[in-house]
This record gives sequence, structure tokens and C-alpha cells, in this order.
Amino acid sequence: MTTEAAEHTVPVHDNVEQDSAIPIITFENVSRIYPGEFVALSDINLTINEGEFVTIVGMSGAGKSTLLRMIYADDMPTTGRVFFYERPIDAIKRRLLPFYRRNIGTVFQDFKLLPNRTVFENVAYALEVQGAPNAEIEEEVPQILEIVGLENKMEFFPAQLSGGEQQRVSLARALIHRPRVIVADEPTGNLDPVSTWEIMQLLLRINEYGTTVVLATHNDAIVDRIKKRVVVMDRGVIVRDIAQGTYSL
Amino acid sequence: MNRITTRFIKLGRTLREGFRNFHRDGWLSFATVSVMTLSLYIIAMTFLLVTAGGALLKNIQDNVSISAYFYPSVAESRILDIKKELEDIVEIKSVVYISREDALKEFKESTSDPLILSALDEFEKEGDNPLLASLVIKATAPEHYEDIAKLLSLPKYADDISEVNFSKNQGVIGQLSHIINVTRTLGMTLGAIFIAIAVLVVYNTVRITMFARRQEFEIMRLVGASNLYVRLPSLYEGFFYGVAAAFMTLILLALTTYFLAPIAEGVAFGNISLFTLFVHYLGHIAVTIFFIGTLLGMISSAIAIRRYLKA
Repeated sequence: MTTEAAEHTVPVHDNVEQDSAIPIITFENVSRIYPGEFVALSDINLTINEGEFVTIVGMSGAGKSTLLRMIYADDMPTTGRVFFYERPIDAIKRRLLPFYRRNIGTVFQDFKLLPNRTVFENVAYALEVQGAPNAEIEEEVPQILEIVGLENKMEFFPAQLSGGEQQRVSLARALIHRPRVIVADEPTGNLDPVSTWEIMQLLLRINEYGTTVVLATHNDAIVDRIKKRVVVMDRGVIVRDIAQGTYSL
Repeated sequence: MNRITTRFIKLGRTLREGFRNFHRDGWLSFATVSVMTLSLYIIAMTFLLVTAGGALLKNIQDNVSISAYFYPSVAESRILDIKKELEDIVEIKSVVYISREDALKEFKESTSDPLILSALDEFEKEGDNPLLASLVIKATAPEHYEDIAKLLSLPKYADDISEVNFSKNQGVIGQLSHIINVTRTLGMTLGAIFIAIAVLVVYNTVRITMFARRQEFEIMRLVGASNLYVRLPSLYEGFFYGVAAAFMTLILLALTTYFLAPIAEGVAFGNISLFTLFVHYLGHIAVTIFFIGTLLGMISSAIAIRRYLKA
């Protein structure tokens, strides 16, 4: 598929339910100061609604990753709070955090696949750790792999796949437990333009099905093309928040 | 699906995962098991050597005695009276009377030199016996020999006892209790040091294993695995390390003690060999080693994995 052809298949539509929107992730006066007085985030206020597709842009060190990490509870604010629906994430008991994380699917630049497991096993893994029965795993993993277009490569190992294919495995794994939010931190950072666009299309499709997507990226071309909400960050501060933005730092 | 089933599914999966980690990362497992084996081996070997040393010294101790030789003129009844007197002393364990005839018989049996034997025959033909009757005295503890020797040289026995052979054993006897104590302390100290080293080395090796698998832990966390689920495979793995290492140690111990036995026999008193000891204590050693090994593996895993469970 060429990028040109792909462009036409992208569903470009506005968020029609803007008024009745339900906040799914809310940052309330969030600051994150790392030891050594390094300020990663400074007084962030941000609301992401159910079903939204939010792109976070900014240079390296702008605080994008820190912001995303707080969504999947890998980092906690120094001051301020992050809410999942009405629930403050910092109030979740440590013991219960794994259960909270099942609401969030994560995708990274470096794919984070287990090298010695097949595509099928990598995706199945996310269900296994939850104690899902084998029958359920056997049924759902191929379905998800079909969605990302890897149904014919289930027995391949990550090393036998291209970067784009690996990222699709990682996306399938993030989707397998039907998360409410997909957090994608530079998912296309290591990919060629064609693969990048394939991943973007998948993310858009997932979003179309109702999953909230929070994407951090450097890639100005895709930001301009998808015409979704853009949050621009600079040195730990949100400098712009545009409903249908383009990439302009 | 109820919670119990889920729990069993997870238990089975983590066990499988643990076993998989164990045999999949072959070299890493091999390194860990080797280090553990070596540590367990040193601990067990220290135990065996200390036990053997103890038994050896006990053996020497049992064989130490003082002999009081009587003038040929002393009547047997007098000697038996003295024997009774000595037996009443609490520090004396046993007193054995060896008559001149017995002494001769024993001596003849113990020597094979034809010259000596023919000389003895000459004596016998004349109805003479060159050997003296004696009392062989054993003390309850090595430190008592000196007192017993003093007692035997009291003036009241001066007409009866011609010689006390304590002096030739004096060096050995004097040092015996000292040697025993030093050996025990040394053995225990060495054992403790080796156990400490083993714990540190095993912990570090397991930590390296965990470090190599840190991305796996990260992924587990990201896909919402509970801490227990992340921890269990490693705990099982630690358990497998322990079992494998304990097994290897037992084989290694059997081999070394078996092949060391003939070498050690030359120096050892009596019939103590490391192999006999090993066989004798096999049950104890096996249980202890399996226990230490699995505990060491599991505790190391539990501690090493903690840093990856920041939740």
C-alpha cells in the first residue's frame, strides 16, 4: 500500500460528541520533579475524553514520555493528581496497580517484544499473565493478529519480522485485553514511512472502534495528515492544545 | 470462570514458565548451578572434613593410654589391688590388667622378626619371661593423663611400678585436647565463612540472571501481570537451581570421597574414610544440601527480583 492510497482510507472525522464527552484521563496541576531538581512536568492540566485521539508533540525532553508514563502508572506526580475517570491513580493500592494497568495498552518505539517467543506467544502472554483459560487464548489471539494483518506469521519469531511487523505484534499485544486507552510512545520512531503509515492507520482504526488513543510523536508528517487534537509540549509545559492541529513547535 | 480456577491456571503457568526459564537460558542456568554446586560442595566438604577430623581425633583419644609396668617380683594380687584403687578414681575410665604371660603372647603375635622370636623361645625354654605385667589405664579426658602419671609415680607405688610410659606419649597427649578444640573452631569458622561467601556469590549470580531478564519483567508489568505472577517463575527457577545444584553436589561428593578414600587411608587412624563418612551421613547431607540449596536459590531470586517490582 502506498502512502498516497492509504491517505484515502483514513477516516477523518470530527468528534461529534464533544458536548457529552466523558473525561477518561485528567491531569490536575501535575508536576514531576526528579531528584536533582530536574523539572520534567510543570503544572500540567489536561483532560482527555473517552474516544479521543490525542497527539502529544514536542522535542526530546519536553516531558511527553513522563506524561504518558503517568497514564499507565509507571511514574507518579510529585504534586498534583492524575485521574482515570473519577479515580485518582495515586490512590490505587500498589497491589492493585497491575489490575489498573489492564485498562491501558502500551506501545513503544522499541516494541518490547520477547525475542524468544513467537508472535502468537508474545500476544498470548498478555492474556496468560491474567490467568485467562487456554481456550480463550486460542480463540482471541488469532483474531487480534488478523486485525493487525499478521495471521500468517503467528509462528514467526520477532527477529524474522520487519520493524513495522514487530510494532504490529506489539500493538496486537496492547489490544488483546481490550484496554480503554492505548498509550503509544513514539511507536513509529524506528519505522520507515510505509510502516509508519500502516501503524497510524491501525491506531486510527482502533480509535474508530472507541478506544482512546494517546500518541506521542516527533513525526510532523503524520500529525499534519491525521488532523486530530494536538497537544504541544515544551520543557514540561503545555504550550498549545489545538482540536485539529498541525505540527508546529 | 471462578477465582480458584484462575489461581490454578496461574500456578501452573508460572511453574511452566519457571522451568522454561531454567532450561531455556542454558548457559545462565549452568553458571548459576555451577556456582551453587561449588558453594554447596565446599560447605559439605568442610562438614565432612571436620567430622572426619573429629572422628580421627576421637580415635586417637581412645587409643591413648598410660601403661604402668610392674616389677617381676610384684605379686598378681598386689597388682589387682592397685587396679581396684585406680578404678575408683573418677577421671579414670578403664584399667586393664595385662599379665606377663598375656604380654608375652601379645608381643609374639605382634612381631614377625625371626630373631626376636627365637630369642623369646630361648627365654621360654628356660621358663623365663622378659616382659613385665602392666596396667593399661585410660582416662575420661586427655587432660587427665598428666595427673594420672603423677599419681602413678607417688612413693607408695615406688616398690611396685618400675616404669610409666606416659612420657613417650606426652607430646601427643598434651596437645590432643588443644588440637581437637582448634580443629572444631577452625572448621566451624571456615564453614560459616564459606556459607557467607556462597550466599553472596549465589545472590550475585542470580542477580545477573534476573538482570538479563529485566525486559521481560518490564513487559510483564506493562501487560498487567501482578507482582506475584512476575515473582513466582523466578522463585520456582531458584528452587530448580537449588535442586540441580544439590544433586550435582551429591554426585561430586560421592566421587571425590570415593577417590580420596584410598589416599586418606594411609594417613588415617583406624578405618575412618571420607567415603564411609559420606555414606554414613548421606541422609543428613542430602537433606541439608537440598534445604540450603533451594532456600539459597529462592531467597536470592526473591531479593534479586525486588528491584524490578517497583509496581
